[in-house]
Amino acid sequence: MTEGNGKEEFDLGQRQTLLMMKAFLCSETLFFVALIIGFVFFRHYTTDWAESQRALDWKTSGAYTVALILSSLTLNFAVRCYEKAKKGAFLVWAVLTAALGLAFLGHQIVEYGDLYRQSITMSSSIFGSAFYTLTGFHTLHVAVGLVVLSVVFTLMTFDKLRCPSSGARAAEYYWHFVDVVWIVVFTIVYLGGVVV
Amino acid sequence: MLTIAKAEHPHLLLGTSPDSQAIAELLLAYGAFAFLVLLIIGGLLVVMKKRYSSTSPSPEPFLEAQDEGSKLEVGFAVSTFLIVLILSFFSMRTVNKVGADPDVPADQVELRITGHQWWWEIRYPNTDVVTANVLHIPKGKRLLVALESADVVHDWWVSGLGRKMDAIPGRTNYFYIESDEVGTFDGACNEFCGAQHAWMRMQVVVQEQAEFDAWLASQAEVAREPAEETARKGAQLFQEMSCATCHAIRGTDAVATVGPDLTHLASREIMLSGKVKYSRENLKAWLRDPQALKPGAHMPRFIFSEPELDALTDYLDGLK
Amino acid sequence: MLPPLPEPKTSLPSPFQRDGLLAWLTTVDHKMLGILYLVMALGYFLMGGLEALAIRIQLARPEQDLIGPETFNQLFTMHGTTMVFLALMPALIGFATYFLPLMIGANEMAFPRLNAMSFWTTLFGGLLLYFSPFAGGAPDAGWFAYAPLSEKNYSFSPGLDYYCMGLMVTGIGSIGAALNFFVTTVTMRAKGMSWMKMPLFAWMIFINSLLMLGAFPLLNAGLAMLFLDRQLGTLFFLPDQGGSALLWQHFFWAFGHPEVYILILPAFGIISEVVPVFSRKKIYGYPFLVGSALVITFLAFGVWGHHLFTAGMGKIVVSFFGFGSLLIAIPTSIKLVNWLATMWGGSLRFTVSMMFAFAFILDFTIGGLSGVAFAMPPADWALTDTYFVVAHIHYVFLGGTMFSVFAGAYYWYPKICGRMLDVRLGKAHFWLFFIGFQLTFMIQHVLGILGMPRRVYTYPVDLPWYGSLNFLSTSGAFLMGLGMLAFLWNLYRSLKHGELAGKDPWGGTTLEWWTESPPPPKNFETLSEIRSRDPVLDWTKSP
Repeated sequence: MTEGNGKEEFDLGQRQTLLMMKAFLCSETLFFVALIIGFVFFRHYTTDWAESQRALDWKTSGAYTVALILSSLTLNFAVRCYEKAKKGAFLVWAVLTAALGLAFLGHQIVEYGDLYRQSITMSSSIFGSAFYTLTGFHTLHVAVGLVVLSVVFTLMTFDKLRCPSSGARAAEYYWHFVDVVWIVVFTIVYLGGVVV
Repeated sequence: MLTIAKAEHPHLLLGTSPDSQAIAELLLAYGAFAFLVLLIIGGLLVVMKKRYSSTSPSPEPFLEAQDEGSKLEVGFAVSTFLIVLILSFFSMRTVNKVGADPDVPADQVELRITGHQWWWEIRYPNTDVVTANVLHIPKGKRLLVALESADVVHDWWVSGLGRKMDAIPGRTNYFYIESDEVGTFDGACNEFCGAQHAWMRMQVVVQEQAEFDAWLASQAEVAREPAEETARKGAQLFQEMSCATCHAIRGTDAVATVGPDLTHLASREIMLSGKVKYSRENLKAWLRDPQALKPGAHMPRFIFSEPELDALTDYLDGLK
Repeated sequence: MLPPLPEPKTSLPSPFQRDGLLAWLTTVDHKMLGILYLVMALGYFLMGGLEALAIRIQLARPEQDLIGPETFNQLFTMHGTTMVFLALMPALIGFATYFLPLMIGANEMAFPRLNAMSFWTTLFGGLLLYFSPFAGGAPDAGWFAYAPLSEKNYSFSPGLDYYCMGLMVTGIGSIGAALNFFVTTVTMRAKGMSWMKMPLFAWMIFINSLLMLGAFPLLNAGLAMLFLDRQLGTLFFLPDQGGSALLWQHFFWAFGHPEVYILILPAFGIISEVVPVFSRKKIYGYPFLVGSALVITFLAFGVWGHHLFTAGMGKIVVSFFGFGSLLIAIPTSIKLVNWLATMWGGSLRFTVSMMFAFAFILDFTIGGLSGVAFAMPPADWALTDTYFVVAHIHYVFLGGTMFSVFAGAYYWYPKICGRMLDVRLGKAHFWLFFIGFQLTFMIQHVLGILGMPRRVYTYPVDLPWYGSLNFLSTSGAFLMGLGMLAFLWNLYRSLKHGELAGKDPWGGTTLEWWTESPPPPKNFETLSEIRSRDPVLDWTKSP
């Protein structure tokens, strides 16, 4: 890794990668907006929604939401340390990021299992359909993100990426996106249910 | 504004309903405007071909554009914006005239229509009258219709008598139907609804109030008792062969609403939602093999013997 | 001496190092991929055309039984889906893939491998869709697959599952293409080519990429929900189980309306290239062409409700969408001013390309005027779902987009293949297709007014005029078919026997005309700094 200063210099190809990731994330946002609109629409118009809503444990989910937010923070530190050639610190932050992300993913799966045992499935009610689809697509994005981060972290560890790396930055943007989407989804699905 | 003659077959510009006339006026006014625009554009193209066609064998040097374009463009944008305002005004005025309020008290509904794959169920609230595909209305009354669907999205469209409206499962839509003249009006389902969408037509018979009342009264009666022997056998077959699983004949034990109500089947001018005219022969052909007449129809194919066919046909043909 | 142009760091495999099929299957070269898209588009256009011919044959006489309802419903569903997603989109994306880098003075797209992936994904989606008849039946609920008809309990064949999968896959390809166009335009314009010096086709492709990035996620969300309903038992569009039939319509048209602008903006771009060259006059009002396209993009996402005017929404909602739909006609129609004013005072050269451009202006105007009728809710309440709307969509999609594709084909074939297309065959194609088109679709306006619904496999024999008008409409379709034969023969024959084109047969002014025909693998060795919108003109004037 080369010495980087405060202002990173990306070449054309790297700038293109970052621009593409930003454009892709804007586009992907609309995919989630559509699913959220569907969820909110059904919540508004379904009479027996509240019962199913009560099965959601917003406190535990809230805790894991915090974990996900923290993982964005640790990822930010990891990439910054990498860019400043502080490899040891990078490794620590990277491992923390992966752990927090995995914990979130694990909790999602456990939560689905819990709900399934309470007979809330995709086809049991429109709540189930909307809930599993919205959170499920998010969970899928988290899983993909974890795979990408593992690959990127490994490459960074073995000095296979440049410094600064647009691939690492792009993966970071993606992970922040996944995080922000979850904050919105959590607020609407879990917190919104408490209020409604 | 325009006096419009009655039309028996669907035709957007001729109708006997004030709603249809309001819509037709809007269409004609817009059509005149559109035609004018087309003449201008077409004319310009013709003029330019004549005036500016190149005669040189090789491409001439490039000329500059005459100006940056602001005045012409802004002028165009402003004038089209004014046209948009005018069209919007007339459009919204017509919406107001023709449209029905989504929230109406149930007691104002004069007709309950339900779309099925591939027939129309019509009920007259406050009476026992249920009919299929053919309905009668009194002349000169603006009737509020509640429109629903039993399965997929359909659309009620009798253009002479008012606007079209979607029949969407899970919701009730309201619209008005009205005719200022007597006559028989033809319509069609106007939202693709599956295999036999093409044959989901309906017929509206507009009558003077007195005649309508007489029709309604006769429709409210229960089914005629079968007179002849064969017809009585037919009635028995009707119960035995599980026709009653789908069809209702008021006055008997058959009360299901899956298929069309048959109480006064033989009083209707058309059958199979307009595929054929009602006749004994057509009825028998349908009973023999529904799929031959309307492939995809939900009526199963029963394997009747000839005597059974005759008996059933006699019975049903008597349901006037 | 300016520095060499930006190009990818790792050298790309040259298609000319390998032979034949392997080169085409593995290429990441934007020009070869452009050709692949165009060939795919042509193939599916012919497929869709055959489906249309079958439809028209069945409808030529009343109460015919040549094609039964179940087959007919699959035919019109496949026809619509094919033409929109597998013919028109790839044609426009193909021209963009080929010409965007050339026009902005780049040697490649920003992401050549993404480019290749986008093409093969698009093709794979098409193949998935066309596998459906072999898997039990093609989709048969119409190209917009209204729920609950499109649900498993009403459409039991796997056709709609292939529809969902095929379109989701093709949609991913389109998003990939859009990302590439977006980044390429932002980062790879030649030195001196500011935004306002870009060719209009490049502008339209760039703006179109925004529309695609905005609209396709909405389609994917809707398709995912429908697919989940059909396969995993979710209840999204099942009204009797808590779902909503109307919600599908909202999701679909939230995509569907921007989609029609996705199909027309590149067409506007092609016409904006062709008209100045064959009028020998620079485009009139360039900033307005760009600005109006941006306004369209903004408004496009706010007018989808006009597809739901008969669904029973309240008067206020209906008036809002009506007003927006009328408003969007302004930036769309203002471009007529630009093209007509460009031609005014010019020297019009009626090459086949220009003939198609003329026809575009006429037919898109007709299509636009019939479209504006639908922007008024009460008029929509009379006209929607009739043959009037079939006429409208074909005037804009076929008379509009497809005519611009033909104009682009005749304009750019010399650049792509190095040879000119035969003029007599081209004129035969034009007249057969143009006359056939007007015959088929002008009549359909009348059929709509006479009350013929769309998507019907037949109609009653006793309705006056229906039989004769339908018969005439069908005969037009055959003329169009003949025109296509002339076009196909021309494309094939001119590859070997066409007159050699040279660099710039038309006297064009944009950068694609600065390089060889066909361009070498590396489009430009070097380029001088761009100083205007017509760089080739500048460089040929001053030696």
